[in-house]
Amino acid sequence: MGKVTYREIAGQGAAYWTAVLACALVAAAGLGAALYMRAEGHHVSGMNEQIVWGMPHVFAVFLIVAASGALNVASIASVFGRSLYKPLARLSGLLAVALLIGGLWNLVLDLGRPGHILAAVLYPNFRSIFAWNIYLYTGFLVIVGFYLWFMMERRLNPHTHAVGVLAFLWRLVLTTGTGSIFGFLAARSAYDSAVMAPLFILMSFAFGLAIFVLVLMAGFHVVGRPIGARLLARLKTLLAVFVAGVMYFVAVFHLTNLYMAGHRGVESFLLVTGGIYPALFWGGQVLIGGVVPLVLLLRRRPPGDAPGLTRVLAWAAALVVFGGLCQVYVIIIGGQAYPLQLFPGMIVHSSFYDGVVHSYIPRWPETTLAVSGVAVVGLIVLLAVRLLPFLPESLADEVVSAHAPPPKAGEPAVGA
Amino acid sequence: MTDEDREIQGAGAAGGEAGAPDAVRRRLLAMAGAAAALVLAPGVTVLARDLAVKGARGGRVRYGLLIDARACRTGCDACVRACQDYNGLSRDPGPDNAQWIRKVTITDPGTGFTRSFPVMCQHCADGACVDVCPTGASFRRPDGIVLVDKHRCIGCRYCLMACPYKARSFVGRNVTDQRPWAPRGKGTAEGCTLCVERVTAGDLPACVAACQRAGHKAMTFGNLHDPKSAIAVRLSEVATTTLRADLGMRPGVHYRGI
Amino acid sequence: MRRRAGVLAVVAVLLAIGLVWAAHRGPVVVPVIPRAPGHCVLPIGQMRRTHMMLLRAVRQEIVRHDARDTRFRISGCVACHAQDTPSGRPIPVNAPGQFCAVCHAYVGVHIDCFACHAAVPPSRRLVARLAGQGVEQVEFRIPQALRAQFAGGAVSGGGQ
Repeated sequence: MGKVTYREIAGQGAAYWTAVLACALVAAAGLGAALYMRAEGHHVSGMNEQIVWGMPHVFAVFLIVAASGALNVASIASVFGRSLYKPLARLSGLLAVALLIGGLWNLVLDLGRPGHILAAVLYPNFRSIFAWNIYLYTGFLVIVGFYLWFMMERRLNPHTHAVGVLAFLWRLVLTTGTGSIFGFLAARSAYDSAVMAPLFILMSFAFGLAIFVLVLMAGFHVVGRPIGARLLARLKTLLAVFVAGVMYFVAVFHLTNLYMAGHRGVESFLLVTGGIYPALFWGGQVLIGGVVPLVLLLRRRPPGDAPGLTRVLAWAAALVVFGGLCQVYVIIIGGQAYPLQLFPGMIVHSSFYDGVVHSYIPRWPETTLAVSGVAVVGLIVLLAVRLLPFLPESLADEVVSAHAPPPKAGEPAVGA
Repeated sequence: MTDEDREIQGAGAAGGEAGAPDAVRRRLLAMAGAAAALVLAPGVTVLARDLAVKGARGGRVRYGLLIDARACRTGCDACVRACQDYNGLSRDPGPDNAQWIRKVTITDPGTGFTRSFPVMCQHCADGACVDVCPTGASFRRPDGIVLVDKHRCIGCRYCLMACPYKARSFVGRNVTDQRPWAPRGKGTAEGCTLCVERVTAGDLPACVAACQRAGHKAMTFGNLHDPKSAIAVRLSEVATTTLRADLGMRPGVHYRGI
Repeated sequence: MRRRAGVLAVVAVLLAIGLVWAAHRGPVVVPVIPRAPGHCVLPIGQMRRTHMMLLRAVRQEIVRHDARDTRFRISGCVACHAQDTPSGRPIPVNAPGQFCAVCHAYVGVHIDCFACHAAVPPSRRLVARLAGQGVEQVEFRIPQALRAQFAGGAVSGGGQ
């Protein structure tokens, strides 16, 4: 006991290679779909002049937001010194990198001219939050790369704290930037709010941790390594706090808009009259992605019940991921479906769909591309954990507790 | 020796570098390998000279429009058709097709007041499309015209998200029948150019010309910064407004009677 | 060691395939460039070496500033260099064997100019139709002016 040992997974079995192959195939299908859209133009997708960002952007924003959140576990360990989480830090960093690459895969392949992406580097426009994000994303990859290196190279271990602090601050700025892509859009009544930035940060906490938990538990289950109840209980509490945080900011966002008379049109669209969007909001985001996980996570459980904890945590995390996708869909697609208020208070007609609610029906090319971003994440994680020692051999209670100081008063008790 | 070689040798000779074919070839190779600047110097010199005489780019010019919604006829779409014809746009108003200019009809639900008038790119002084573009492809020229530089456009569609006037479109199809004076292509954003080719040559934008031909005179084009221009005089005399003036983007298109 | 030998073997096989393929292509065929009437805006040798830089610099000036000297614009190239079919229909300059494509295929340089730019001059019918509507074609004037300017043979060269 004492030292945590990390080991590559064996990855010899048929299951491993099936998973790798499946991810590779889906990724290749997404690439093919993107090339098809590139060759034929975006009219083969469900996106059009009204709904200009579609499924690839929903998944891209979800993955990018989750990427910065996935790094939180590492940050808790090396920035805030909670050594209980330290054995998880490597996987946390890996997932952060993989999720960001998956998101960028979607974003870049959906561009009208992905081959011209270098223009963004050659002629950056620093008034554009998009241009800033390009640097935030690449910087994030570099910093987390160093972070992982410092964690894995024994001689560099003492400097991990410094890189960890930098990575943590960077990820806060990054998610602020991602949220501001929407928050800075004064033209669209569904965005145009400074709350977008903190909302996205909270979303990143919740989505990132949920994905991290799912990957951790799935991985450990498949390779047969143990996770102790102590760690599970801590993750459970953490996830509950993050989910509640998201719900708080969502409530603030909508209440603010409801209070401002000029925004009531878009609010009634998103919350009541908008068809699919209110359904996804109340059913997907609030109920399945918020209330149910909170009930699952906060219900008292007998201490030390590892199998029960695992089940509850897995379900809650999966629901948070589903609710998160609903939430991003409502933000991105719902925000565009509501017509631009070119003449506030007027009834507007034109040949260009002014004043009417726009419809978006995803078609296969962009949906395939969207899902392929997830496959890219899977592929990166699967290959990385086989090639490098990312996963600890054991997260059983005696291992993590030997590593962590005993719980202090005020900390959530085991099984809370 | 092939035709190509003779041409190359000829070019060398014209530059005052006559010599044996081998020597020319060696020299060319050396040039290519060592000093690209040297190779490019003649062309760039010519260019620099040409551009130096081009004249001032100062802010003395800001092109703009004044649209008189009272004179605009409901049901008339001469401006829209002229734009489509001149710029080679589709006449099909499908959800995938660009509309650089469109006729909008507004009705006040309280009073029943109704007006019909064209809306296009408002050529803002502080346009959101210019601010959000990651590559600076969406930009404002010194003469006030807001354009998409398609050489830089990567097709991210952020300008379509940001424009409050729905004035930007995205080309989602292969285009082969462009007008030589209005390049447009798949995977790039586009919008009203204020017929920049015609305007720089001293002509009116196609929509304005069409409106005048139709006898409605609902559109006036001119230099907003020239106090003696017809548009500036008119703007100083009558009450006009800009669309979504609350957003502070300072459009170059003014409306009367809405 | 075994791994290194494997890598070497793969490299050797790839090299061999490349050599065989290159040998099969036979002697390099020098492109035959379709000729255009009149004189170019610059000596041909200079044009061959610098046209890409000229177009690149000129597009910057024409699009982003308000340059009016438009001698080097791409529509000028197309206006002179687009060939006609025997029936009189213009052939795009980027079609196989045509002015732009023939050299760019030879040197293996991909261009996407004509994704946006017209690869044929405007048809007489279009010009006539627009002129009938009182819409004079600014752009169409340019090649004429250009030809007038350079028809005097101010520049030497083969006349492409």
